[in-house]
Amino acid sequence: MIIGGSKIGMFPGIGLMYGTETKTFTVDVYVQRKNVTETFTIDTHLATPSLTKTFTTDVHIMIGTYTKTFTIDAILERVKNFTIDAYIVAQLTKAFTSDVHICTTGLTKTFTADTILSIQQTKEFTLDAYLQKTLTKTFTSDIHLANTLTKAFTEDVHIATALTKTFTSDVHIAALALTKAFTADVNIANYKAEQFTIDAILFYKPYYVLNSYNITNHIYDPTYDGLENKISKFSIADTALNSLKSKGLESLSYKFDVLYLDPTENDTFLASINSLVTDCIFYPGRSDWYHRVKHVSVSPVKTIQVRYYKNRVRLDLEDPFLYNSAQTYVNASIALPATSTTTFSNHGNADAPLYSLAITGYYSGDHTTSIYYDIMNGATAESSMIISDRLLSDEVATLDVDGDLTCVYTDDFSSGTDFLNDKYASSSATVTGGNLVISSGGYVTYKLYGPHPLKENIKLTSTISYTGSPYIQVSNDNSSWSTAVRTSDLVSATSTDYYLSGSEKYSDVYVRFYCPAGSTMTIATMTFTASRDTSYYDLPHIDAGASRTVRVRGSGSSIAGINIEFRSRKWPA
Amino acid sequence: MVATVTTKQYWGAGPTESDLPSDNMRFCTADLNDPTTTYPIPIPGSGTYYSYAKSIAFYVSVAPDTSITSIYIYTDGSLGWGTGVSVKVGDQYPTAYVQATGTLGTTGNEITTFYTGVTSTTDLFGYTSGSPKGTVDQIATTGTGRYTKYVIMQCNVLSTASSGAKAAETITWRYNEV
Repeated sequence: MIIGGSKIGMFPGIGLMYGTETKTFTVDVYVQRKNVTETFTIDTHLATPSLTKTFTTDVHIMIGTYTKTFTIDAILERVKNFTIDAYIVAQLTKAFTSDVHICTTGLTKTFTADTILSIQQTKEFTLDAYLQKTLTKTFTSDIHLANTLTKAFTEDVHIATALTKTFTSDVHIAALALTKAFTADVNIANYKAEQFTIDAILFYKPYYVLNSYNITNHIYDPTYDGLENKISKFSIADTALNSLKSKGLESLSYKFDVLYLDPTENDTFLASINSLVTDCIFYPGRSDWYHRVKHVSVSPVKTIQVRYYKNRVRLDLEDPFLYNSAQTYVNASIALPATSTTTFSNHGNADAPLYSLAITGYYSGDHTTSIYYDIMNGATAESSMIISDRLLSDEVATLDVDGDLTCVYTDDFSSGTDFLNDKYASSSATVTGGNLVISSGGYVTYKLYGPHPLKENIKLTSTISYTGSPYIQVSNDNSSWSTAVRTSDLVSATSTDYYLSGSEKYSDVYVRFYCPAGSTMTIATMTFTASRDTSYYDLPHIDAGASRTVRVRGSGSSIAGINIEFRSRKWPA
Repeated sequence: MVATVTTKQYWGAGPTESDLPSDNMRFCTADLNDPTTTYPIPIPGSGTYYSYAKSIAFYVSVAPDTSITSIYIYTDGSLGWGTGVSVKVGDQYPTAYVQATGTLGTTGNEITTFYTGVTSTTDLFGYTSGSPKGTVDQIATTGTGRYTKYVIMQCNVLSTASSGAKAAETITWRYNEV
């Protein structure tokens, strides 16, 4: 036995021990500290002390760099034993046939059937499980769990949000955008819904109500009267012929008796009817159609003491039609041209114009100008009518079913904006402290536009305080002025209605608040009400049985507020 | 392709099959698809007036990819038409259509008195999304056309009702499309 210092390879067939050793070797054993360059066929090479294991084939145990190739070996750099190759390292370059690869860095190897656990993955799998998050479910086919998916799947499950459902066929549930097209999927949706609405119109019958006064249980013998032709006749001498000239129809009137047993009820009825101060409405038998009543008269017919009180009522109607419930369209501010989203239907048997049309002008760099409305049958305008050439700021033009056009312009001078925009001309006048103040020698002119002529003098409702001898003038040409309100007619500091004489029948009218030298005016509020005549116009209407929309056109600011009310109408029956 | 479904109304002797005008079904006192404001329902002095019965069905104009099944019908559970007014629905789904009858302009005949196959009714607004009516008997699950048997509805009016146009109430079909 040679210990240390021996020359390498000089003692074949002799067992050598370096340090403690209890094993007996029958074949070559070579133990030394330095690197080994010898090739062994069947050897044991112990490079560290304290070896206790028994080897039956070659074992190479060392700490330093090892370059030998083993056919069937075990390489221990740690302490574990392997029966089949296992390679555990921080970085892998080796190719595996059937292995386990556990690493933290990029993988470049292509696997046929593996399990890859990593943080970063760029590989495509044929039949794998790729877990980037915690997975507790067992899958038989590919599953990719990720927040963001860029991979295309042929037959997969892609779950981008929490899933608790079990699927047997392909399902794609994602909150993120999906770029993959599926050829065989199941779209499992919640129940779908289809909706419609129901409604009904209920009415009372019998129903006799005059304004809000219900006389249903007290009315007797209601009858219509009127609508007969008024004809002048001229007999042609020596013939059987007559020349007849129609003078129109008799106005319709409605007559009935109202009976009460209770004198108090009778008094209440009489008080109610006799206190009517405006046009009213009357429901002649049912609550869904009513008449517009112009005049009401009540006369006592018979009073039988203790038994009942009888009154004869006569209603005079300017128009004979019955009107139905309102159909409306309202838009407070809309760019023109604007067509109503409401389709108005005339369910009656008589053609019906709009019950009311109110258009509000808006200033936006300019006034609303050249304002028309059209009755639209689809995209075709069946009939049209001009409302105004120009509306001042917030001026409201209202056309009613009778063709009465009323234009109302108001300024409370809470700011000077409307004054600046709407005045036609001024001198020595300013808005201050919520008032329009016109100094001595100053004036303010407003122009109220047609084209429809004024049916009556313009009504000015205003609170005016003054000194000296101011007055109000009107003109139709801004040149020739006439006095409409004299100084003596002004009621200082009191809201008063002034009718501007001389303005009637004109189309465009100029109104001038004039303060000669030594006079002043302070105007707190000012409202012009102009009733204009459209009787020469055939009011656009909706034919009986037809449904139409309404379009409003305009220029200038091309902005307006629109408020339309339509009611079906029919002949009395 | 996603199916296109609608509600069809059946009226007249034929019957005539019509879409609901503006998807709204108006109860009235005539056998009309679109009564507009004609033939409203009078409020009786006593007793009950009925609208003419309405026969409707679930209709498919564009077929689903696979099928439509499990059709239910329900409301929001609250009829806002005031006291004295209710809407009844037939408990049964008749296979055969029967034209609505009644006294024109006054009252319809109650469903159970003339509609063969309907022997009882229930308040339609008792059916809600949580407790819908159904499943509605189906005559088809694929293709186009009428998918269900007829669903019969009627408005009942008591003397305590108030007059006027009653606001539209929404009815919902719920179905499963695959």
